[in-house]
Amino acid sequence: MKPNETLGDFVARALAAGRGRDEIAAALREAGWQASDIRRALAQWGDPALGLPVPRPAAHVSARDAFFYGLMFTMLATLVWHIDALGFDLIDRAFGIEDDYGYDWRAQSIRWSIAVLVVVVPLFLWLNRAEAARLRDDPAQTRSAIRKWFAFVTLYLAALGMVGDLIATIYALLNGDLTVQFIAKAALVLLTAGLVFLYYRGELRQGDEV
Amino acid sequence: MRSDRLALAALAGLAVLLVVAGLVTVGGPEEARRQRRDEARVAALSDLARCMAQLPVAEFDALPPEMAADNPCVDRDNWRDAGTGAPFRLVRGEGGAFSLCAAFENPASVRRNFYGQSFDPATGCVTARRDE
Repeated sequence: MKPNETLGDFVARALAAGRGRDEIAAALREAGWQASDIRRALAQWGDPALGLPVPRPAAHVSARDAFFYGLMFTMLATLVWHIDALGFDLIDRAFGIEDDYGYDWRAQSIRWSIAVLVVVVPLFLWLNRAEAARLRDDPAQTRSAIRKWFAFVTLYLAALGMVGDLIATIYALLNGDLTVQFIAKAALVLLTAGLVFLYYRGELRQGDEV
Repeated sequence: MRSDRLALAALAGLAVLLVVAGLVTVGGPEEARRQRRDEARVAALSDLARCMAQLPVAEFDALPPEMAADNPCVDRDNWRDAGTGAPFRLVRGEGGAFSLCAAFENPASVRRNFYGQSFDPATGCVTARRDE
């Protein structure tokens, strides 16, 4: 049995024996358990009803969640990538940046990003709406471990994006490369990463409120 | 409105704005077809010019002002416009320079410098130079 399973089992038996939570916490602290472990173990059980401690709802994992949230994550990543790619191409066009190729590859790149966004944006919005409806109908879905994992991975990548963008901007400044064109591109990256961060932070908070 | 809803709306709005700006910049399907036809024209002119720059003097001097199928540099049908059928035109310049010209639909969108040659959108001509 894993240590935390032993801990949860001990807490359940102690609560069933009529011990108070403070008393149980003190005993665990004396045994060397960390405060966060004690808090988590006590949170797994509600106060005894029917003479027994009542297990509280725990995070769950399902293949359906993996598909749904995996798809949402992929759509969002694609959406953000092509917002930035399209924005970069349009900024280069606006500043008259041309390449010495025999064909206009940038026009093709712009068309490709447009095609992706026309499909992915409505799809992502629809998935988001479906998720919101699912959570309204069954608030227990907010405990989906997969939902939380994808949300935190997205937050992590968005945070990295913002940090990397700021570093690149300062580096460009020090290197004498800080042009208006560069600033426009850096601002776009910061905006998209920031919006993704705000969105998922709000989503996770909504789950905590339910 | 909650911050996450606002952020999502802003992201979607940004995507829509960029899509519209993109369509205004590159145009629709017909503009893409025009661009492809012009790229084929400039590629054909460029191939011909590269070959004609290497021709012996006598062969080059014997070339008529309009390309024909018996041009020694012709490969398949690249002596005339694939869309209109009009033959490309040869314009001789000074000091070994020469131009091959065609009628372009949107010359401003054609790349200017490539393969050691230059394209002039005002005249619709690719200019090259012979080594003399």
